[in-house]
Amino acid sequence: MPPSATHFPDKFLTLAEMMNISEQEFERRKQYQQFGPEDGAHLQKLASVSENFTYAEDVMDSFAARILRAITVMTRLMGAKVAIAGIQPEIAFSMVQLGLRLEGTMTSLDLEDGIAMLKAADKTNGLGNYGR
Amino acid sequence: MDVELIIVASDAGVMNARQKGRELATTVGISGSDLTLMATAISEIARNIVQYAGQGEIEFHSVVRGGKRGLMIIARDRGPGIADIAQAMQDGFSTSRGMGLGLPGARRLMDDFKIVSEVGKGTTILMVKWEH
Repeated sequence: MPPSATHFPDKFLTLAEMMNISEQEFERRKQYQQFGPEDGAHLQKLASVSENFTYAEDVMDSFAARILRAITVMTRLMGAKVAIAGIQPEIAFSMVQLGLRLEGTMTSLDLEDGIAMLKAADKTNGLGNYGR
Repeated sequence: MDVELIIVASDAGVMNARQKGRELATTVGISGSDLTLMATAISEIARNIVQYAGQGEIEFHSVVRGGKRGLMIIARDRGPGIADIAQAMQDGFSTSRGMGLGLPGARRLMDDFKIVSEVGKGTTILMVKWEH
């Protein structure tokens, strides 16, 4: 699979920029938890970027981790719970060596475990065993 | 293999460097998770080249020491250089909006690591992964 030109963003966007709103507006919505469907549309755009991204990436470097983190944080801001499933052992190993952390994010061996975690998290504060 | 050279000037170049590294590493007996560790390190320094210098090159040499084969990677750019290398090698230090894990992370991912830099002239990073 020759990786053709993957489209990466030219610069790193803040969450507000990703949602196409001002920083003040972002703070306001965050304070009142007012994220609406239009924010979801922007999230979807971001998710499609990440889809290209996983297609082409065979490693998790700090750049990839930053995008993963942005997606995680943003998804959580929308009120959803996030679990990352299926990180391969050698990828996990290299992430640790690199110093990457996924603090406060649930991670699981496979999708089934991940869904079980999310269901369990529903009954607590939405963070599972984390963030307490 | 004597020397292979990859020009890195874009995200596609980062990917090329990583894949060339993987391909050549297998020919000198590097395998398994070491391949992923090495590819991650290449990705980090290649991204640094694109981000800070705009363009540079990565050379791959097969090397032998004490009966062991290895892959030596030399990354060169004529970018702005690094004023304080000790500082740049610290976890969490970044002059951009990065996480500051690139250089110290790459050092942990590889077996040997050396960096030479002069402000205004550019940066050269030399790193080696040995077969087990």
